[in-house]
Amino acid sequence: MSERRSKLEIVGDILNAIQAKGGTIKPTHLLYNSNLSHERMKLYVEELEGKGLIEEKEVKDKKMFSITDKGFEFLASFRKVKEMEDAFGI
Amino acid sequence: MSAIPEWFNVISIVYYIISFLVAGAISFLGYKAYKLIKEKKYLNFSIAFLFIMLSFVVYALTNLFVYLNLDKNPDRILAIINAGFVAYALFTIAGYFLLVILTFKVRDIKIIAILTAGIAAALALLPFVKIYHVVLLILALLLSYFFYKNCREKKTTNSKLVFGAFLAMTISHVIHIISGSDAILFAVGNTILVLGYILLLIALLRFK
Repeated sequence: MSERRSKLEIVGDILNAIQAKGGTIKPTHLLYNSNLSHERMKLYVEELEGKGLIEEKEVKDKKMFSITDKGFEFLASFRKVKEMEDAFGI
Repeated sequence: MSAIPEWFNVISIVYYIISFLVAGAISFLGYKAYKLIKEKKYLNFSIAFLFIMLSFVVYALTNLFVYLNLDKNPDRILAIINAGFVAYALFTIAGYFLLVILTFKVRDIKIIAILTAGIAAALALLPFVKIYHVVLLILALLLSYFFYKNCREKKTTNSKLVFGAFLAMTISHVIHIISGSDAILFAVGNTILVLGYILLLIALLRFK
């Protein structure tokens, strides 16, 4: 059984999922790719929107989530932190 | 303070500056991670390396003070050397101890208090110069064991570098315990210690 993901890993998975879809993703795809319940994903999305890491957009009358420049910067720093975390096992 | 051979004085200052810069860079990265993620473990990680960094600052400054011959009063020189050594030892122990608590995920405050009291009692009641190396060796052994397990699990180059670094630090503490007043062994121990920090620097530079 895999270990429970940390908050950092969940945030990273959400941003990675958006980046993998070219920077914009449908909520259903985000739900699927982030592997979270609807309620938990909503909480994370609200937090990431609040921090300006992602933003909600209307594309062809459909709700989408986009990663912001700040989100890309965060993702780069996140990868560095993840490498540090793996290297030191913390 | 361990008797530093005169010919090794400048080299040791360079060693401590390298180690100080590496420990400082790791502490800074940990702090950046804390600012980014707001998880306390990153702050503790940052503080642990901050303590280690401070230990090298104190040691380098003390050696520099002796090397530059800034004071002619032998009693004052001895007092400064002793104070520098005690500060260096306490900062190093605090840094290693915090890393052990963090890596072994010790969260029970009672266990942390008992371990702290045990180390403090050992340092206060036994000959400081000898027991300090033993305490550091025990902590370094625990860290090496943890980083060995981590590198077996992760199998990444960086985790191997971190294990190598702490193994080098452990070996350097063993050499310091057996070195006594042997100048060559003392220099070898310090060289191995700085090699450990160079391994950490390589790991740090590999973080993309």
